[in-house]
Amino acid sequence: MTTPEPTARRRPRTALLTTLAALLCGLALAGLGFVRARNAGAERQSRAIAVAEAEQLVAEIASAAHKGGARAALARLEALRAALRASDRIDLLELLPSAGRPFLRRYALLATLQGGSAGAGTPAASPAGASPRKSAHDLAERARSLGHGVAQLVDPDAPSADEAAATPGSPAAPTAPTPTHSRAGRDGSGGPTVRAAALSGSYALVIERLPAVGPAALPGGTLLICALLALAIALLAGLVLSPRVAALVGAIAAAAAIAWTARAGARAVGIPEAETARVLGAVGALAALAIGVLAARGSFARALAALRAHRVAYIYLLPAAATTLLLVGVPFAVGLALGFFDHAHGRYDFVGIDNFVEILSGGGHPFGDPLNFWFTLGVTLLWTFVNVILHVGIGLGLALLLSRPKLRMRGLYRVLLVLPWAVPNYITALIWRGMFQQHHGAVNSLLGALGLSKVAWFSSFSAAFSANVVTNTWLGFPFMMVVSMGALAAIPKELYEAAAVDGASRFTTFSRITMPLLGPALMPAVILGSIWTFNMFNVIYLVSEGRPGGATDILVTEAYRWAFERGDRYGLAAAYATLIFIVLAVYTLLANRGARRREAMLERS
Amino acid sequence: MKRLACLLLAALALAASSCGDERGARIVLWHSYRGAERDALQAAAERWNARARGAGEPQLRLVAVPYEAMVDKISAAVPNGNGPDLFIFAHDRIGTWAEAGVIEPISYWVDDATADRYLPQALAALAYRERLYGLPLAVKCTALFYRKSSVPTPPATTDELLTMGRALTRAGHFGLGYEVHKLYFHAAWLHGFGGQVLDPSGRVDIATPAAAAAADFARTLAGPGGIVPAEPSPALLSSLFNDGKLAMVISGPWFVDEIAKGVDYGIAPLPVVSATGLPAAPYLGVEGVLVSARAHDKRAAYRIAAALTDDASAIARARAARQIVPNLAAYRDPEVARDPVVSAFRGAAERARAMPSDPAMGSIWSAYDRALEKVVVLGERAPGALSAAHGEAERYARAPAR
Repeated sequence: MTTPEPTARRRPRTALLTTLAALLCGLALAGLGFVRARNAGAERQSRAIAVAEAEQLVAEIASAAHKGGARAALARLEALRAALRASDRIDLLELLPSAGRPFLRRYALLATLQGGSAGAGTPAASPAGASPRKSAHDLAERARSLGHGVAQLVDPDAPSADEAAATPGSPAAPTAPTPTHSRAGRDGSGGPTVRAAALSGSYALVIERLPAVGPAALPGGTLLICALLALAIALLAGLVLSPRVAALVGAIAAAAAIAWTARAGARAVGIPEAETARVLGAVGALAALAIGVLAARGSFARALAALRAHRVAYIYLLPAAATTLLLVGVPFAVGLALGFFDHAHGRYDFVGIDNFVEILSGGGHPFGDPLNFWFTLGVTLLWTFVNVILHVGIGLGLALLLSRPKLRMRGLYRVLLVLPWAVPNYITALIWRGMFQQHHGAVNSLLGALGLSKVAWFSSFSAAFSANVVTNTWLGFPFMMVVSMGALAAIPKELYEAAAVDGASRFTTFSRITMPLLGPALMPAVILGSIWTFNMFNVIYLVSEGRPGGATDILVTEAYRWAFERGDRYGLAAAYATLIFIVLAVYTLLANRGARRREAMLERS
Repeated sequence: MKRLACLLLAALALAASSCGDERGARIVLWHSYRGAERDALQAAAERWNARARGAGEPQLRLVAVPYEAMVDKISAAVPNGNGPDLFIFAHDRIGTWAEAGVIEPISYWVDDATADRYLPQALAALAYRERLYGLPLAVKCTALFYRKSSVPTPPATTDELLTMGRALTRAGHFGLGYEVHKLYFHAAWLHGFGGQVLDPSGRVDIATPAAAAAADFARTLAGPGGIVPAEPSPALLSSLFNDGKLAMVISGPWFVDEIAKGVDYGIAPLPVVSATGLPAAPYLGVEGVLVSARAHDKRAAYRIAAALTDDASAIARARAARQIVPNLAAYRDPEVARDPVVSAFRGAAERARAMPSDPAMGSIWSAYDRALEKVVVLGERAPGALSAAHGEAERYARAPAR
């Protein structure tokens, strides 16, 4: 396919369009980073201000309560009323202990002070469904559970809250023996709500306030100037240079403009959150560059031309492509990304390549330990190799038997031999597990009837591994048999006739005609079969259950155990899945290349 | 085109009607009960709904969710606000869910009269880090099932158990059966020998001399020359017990349904460990009604939880579904008191120790099961196998972020 060369008249247009596309794409990413960073920054700032104010209020009342009990605290509350904003609310709570049942103690409401008006004011906005008193109790409980000397409080609802959570012991209450804690949370409605709790003896004070701090301004001027500059450069380049070079120059200008705008935005946002803006700005600039490079290489023009030429084909492909992207692409991308996170108690933390390091270094387990990745990989490879050899060997042998022209009742044998394949494999696996039972299983009963001693099938690696292999061979050979039969039928009969005329022996016919012609047809089946076996979860999980001591687990069951049986380590399991994918992808590539080379050799000879 | 429009209209109408359904004040409860237990719960829900209609309280709607799917569904749906308001589940997940903010602490609403209704350890099992997360509906623990034809009086001590078991074990016949390699069943011996898996402050405490003694005892029972059949799966145990080839089984209330008609059996608490004089205390599992942290009316949800677990409901559930209810008053009901299964398990529950609900258990179960397999089946030395399990559990029991 040749690239349609744009005419001289269209030159500036190509460069301009590329630059515009690069700008839009890059700025969308950078803008996303800016908005996210801006919201986080605004939340942090407003929370910090409100926490400081709330702490001071709470500390003053707490010290009064410490000296004179609830009455003094109430008096102090009244005196402080002037300091409250209209959105503020302070609850004074008293701890009611429950004898013998510490988990039933409760903070009961004594008094509420609403900003501007004394007494039990109208309840302020509170999280959906929970009564406001209950939420005050929860906050006091939370402060209490932190105990003395705990400085930080991480709220699962507000990930950045740890920065805002204040240190105990405000300067206003140096004598109070109990620490002052603050908690910052996010209310369901509107902006961030700051809630701080202080404990003093059996009294607790909870203050809620809704501060408002405007988010950082968008660097609109910088954005406009940078974008216009980039477009002007693209226009100039388009007039002077060849269209491809001009497109590249335009994209570079766009990338620079994006980077500069992102920098300005990051500065406006503030220190800790600027990282998001900067990173996404850099990604945006890179995307702009990539668009430029692709445009310069003519990829878009070619893709467009192909799209025009085969419009109908692409329209027919669209539903399948979209479905594949949605059902395969998205989970795949999520799984890949999950490998870089650590999951604990419902939270996901980015840990970089820690999961992969942990797996590949063996996770502190020696080589012979079933929890070591390399041990499991070795078992998996052995498992795959042994199975595929047996499947192909038995399947091919049966296919050769069934393809003998003089065989009678061939249809019946075929149906019988395909049956193991037709039964759902977990049912077969469960039946085989029952048959390998030590005292009452069919296998040991048979051994006993033959006068042999019974085998404890799941007490040693070799026995348990063999039990798995037997089960999986039972499940796997019919597929290979069917494929072999199809391939055998496709071999031209003339070749055999010619061989017979030449007086070739049966072995020579097999090794010179059957095998070489079967190879190409069997190769995809072997690759598919090895991938299935490599990931044969059901047999391992149901027959040997990993016994003894996890030794017969393969990579995919190991990944499952990390995800669901050893403390919900989804990230580690996802990293396992990624490694399994890499192993299988490399294997498939190598096997395909080998098959292609052999095919080429066959054609040449 | 016309057909398409009709279809669209129908879809819209359906969506509108389901919306209208949602809008009425309703509390949704997810449970995984089946058979008689489900019917008993349904009856309790209907009692609440009849009372609620007049009192302006929200109606209760029950949704059955398969037991195996419950954990995943709750963990996925609740944080997104799509979950139920209430759900019924075993208490051992409470720690994980509390740390993840999936369930709501209810201590604030529980008064002493409500708390006094229940067996103390059943209520305490539903607390995590000094906060209560649910009200108990039923308890489960293990006890000793014995065939009266071969065991006239159940063993009171482990020495008696061994003597009796050895006398009953011969070719194809076994004295005792239980799932040896599972911590859930082994815990009774562990506690009887004075061991534990977590210390009171929540630290992993597996590699102890007491635990080694308990594991050695399990090997005496189930190792070479023992009285327990090899690979004791639940299906094997029930078929051997029904065939008269197994004299005693350690199992829970669910085993009652496995016993064939006509088998004369008794249920006794587990024996006292002769070496220490302590009773073998099995794990107590408590099914609780838990309030979702995203329930749209948490107070109403709590009131319904209290109504479902009150004494009248408990008596009805114990009578109809033979649930081992934690309500003390239920056992003063003559019909419940006469039921041999319910009263036997109530006695066993009093000795039982609440299964830890700490999130650290997530990594302890499989590590401990593997250690038991090593000791009992593969014949490794107990201290080594246990310290390997201890290290593994400690490594992966990551401290919850607070």
